[in-house]
Amino acid sequence: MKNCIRFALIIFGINLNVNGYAQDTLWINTGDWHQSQDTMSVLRFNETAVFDTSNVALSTSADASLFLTVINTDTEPHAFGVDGIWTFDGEILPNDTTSFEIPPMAMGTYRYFSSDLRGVYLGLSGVMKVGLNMPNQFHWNLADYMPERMDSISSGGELLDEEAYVPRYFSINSYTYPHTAMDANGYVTFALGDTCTISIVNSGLMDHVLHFHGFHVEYLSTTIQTSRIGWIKDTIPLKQGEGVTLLLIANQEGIYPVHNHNLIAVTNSGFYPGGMITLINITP
Amino acid sequence: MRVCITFLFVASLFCLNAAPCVAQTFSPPPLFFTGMDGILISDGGMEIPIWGYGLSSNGYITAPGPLLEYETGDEVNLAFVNNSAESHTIHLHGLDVNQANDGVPTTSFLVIQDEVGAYEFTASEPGTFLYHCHVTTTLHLTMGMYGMILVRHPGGVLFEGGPSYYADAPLLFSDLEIATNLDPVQSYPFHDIRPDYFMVNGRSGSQLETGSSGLPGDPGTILSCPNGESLALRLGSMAYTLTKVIIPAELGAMCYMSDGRPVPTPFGVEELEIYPGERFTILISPDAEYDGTIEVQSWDMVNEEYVHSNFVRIRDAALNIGEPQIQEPLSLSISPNPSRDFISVNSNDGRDLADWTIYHASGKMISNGYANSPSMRIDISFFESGSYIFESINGSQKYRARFVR
Repeated sequence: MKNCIRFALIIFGINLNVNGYAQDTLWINTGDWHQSQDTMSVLRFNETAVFDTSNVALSTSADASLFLTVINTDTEPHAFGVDGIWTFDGEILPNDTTSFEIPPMAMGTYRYFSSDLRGVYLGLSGVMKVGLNMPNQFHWNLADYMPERMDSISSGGELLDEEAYVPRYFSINSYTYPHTAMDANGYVTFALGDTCTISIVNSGLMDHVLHFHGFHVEYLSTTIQTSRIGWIKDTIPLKQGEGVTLLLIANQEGIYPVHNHNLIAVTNSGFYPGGMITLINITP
Repeated sequence: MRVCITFLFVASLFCLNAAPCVAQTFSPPPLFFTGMDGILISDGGMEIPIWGYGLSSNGYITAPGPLLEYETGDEVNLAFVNNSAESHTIHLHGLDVNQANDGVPTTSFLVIQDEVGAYEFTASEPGTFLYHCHVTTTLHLTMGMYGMILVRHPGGVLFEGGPSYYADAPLLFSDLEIATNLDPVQSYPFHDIRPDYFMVNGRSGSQLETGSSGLPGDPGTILSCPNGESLALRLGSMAYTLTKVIIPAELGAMCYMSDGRPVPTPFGVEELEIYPGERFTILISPDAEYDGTIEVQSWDMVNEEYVHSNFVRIRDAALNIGEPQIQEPLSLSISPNPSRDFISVNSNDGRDLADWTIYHASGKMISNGYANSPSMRIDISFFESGSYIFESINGSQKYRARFVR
């Protein structure tokens, strides 16, 4: 396939830095996502052929290309790209394997995703961390879901654009509160006096805004609102597709929420509390 | 460093014992209360139910609640009494208080009906902050339980080493969905709340100039600034929509702070997006004879659609049409309180009560008259049960107290 590098050996789920480049493998899997009274058909980028409800976070260094192999187990072709940075100019066909080289990127957090209709509405979008070396790292992949649209698209129907978008679920790494506390990648816990980075991407179909209790955080990178790099804030807007890296210094112990301050998004199917709430737990 | 104590008070059913001011460097702020029986008069005259915080000296709640003002380094004890029907808290948004004082029910504490809650914190950083109830937050905020906090830095500067300015102009952007406020008990589900009434400091449309919110002494919002001086716009959002603020280029707006911290490089502003929970501090410098408006747009965050604009007027103070100034009212004695049939009112300072008016807690005028003496007895036997405000004006002096029938 033109513009594509095929590897004779697929290294399952491993990110290696070899001779100035890294390589990784993703599976596009289909599965069900259960929330309250709804079961939604979703797509996910996983690191094995076994469906997992969360998109896997990719990690690579800032000075190397990433050679990525993607295995599509879905019944439809998919696009692939890094939002605002790079787009694969082909399709990943159903039940096919495609490999390509993503050029080196600057330090930061990016969204990798599939921009086709099924990919966008069924949640094929994840966090890519570039050049982040801090021992304490967490990531939050924000998403919003309207089950009715997902049902239509997953069954091959058309998107009815004239209908207002009314999302009913809001998630972090595919977890909704209170289950976000069980997410090792999203539940932020480390020791007083230490620091961590939090990589956030907005994979949703609307802007989101996260408010930190107890702490201010510093913008280390952002892919859209670049003038904010270096700002120290407690409320962080994330535009659609934006990737942000934040630095958190644990200067007080305790448990503090971080939640969407568009308060319709701290609900599960309309019931409070739920949705986009997670916790920071700073231990003594 | 000062120590200040604020007391949030729910209703006059409780004996008000002013909390002691530990340091005597300045008087404690007025006492506060929370309630769930407020009315917001819309720009079109509609009575919209609200919940909120209020000053006990005023005797009614408002949306937004009273502006809380501190100085960098103040150690604050913020207490409130809750005799409303539901539990409430105060989250000190952006002040980075410790877990015990964070105002989140599951990690801090609830203030249940008829109990007192106290929050202790140090106002360690200057800037613009917010406060709000964190109980069933999606509902309690759209009902009106929020306000703004200003932490001023000594010396008339925004922050240590920051620019000086003439005066603060707090502008809190918020909104509500009228149907939810009319029937909060049946307001589930919350994911489809879409605001249809949009406010700046609780006012909308023509109220921003005329002050016709229905509340006693409402001055409207007209910002005036002497030529050559800078006005600090303290912008914050408690909205469910994205706020876009359009500032005319001739005001020379410069953004110096966001979320209570200086921005590394101040920047010029002609259009600013403010997401729910964000704050910005912007200095403007109107030219001589300037008379214009700042546009405050509200945008649906889900479908990215423009929905409404309010306008805040900015005028050169030399035009002498600035915001009217309110003289802080003095307290009255009212007894018995509560009462079912009669109340006796006394001005406490020997001055005649003169022009007096009784308002329901919603802001509706119930009764009025004139008294040529410092005390009088009033028949309230025909009043409906509820909270009321007695207000009188003698010349430039205003008196006010709350009573319950």
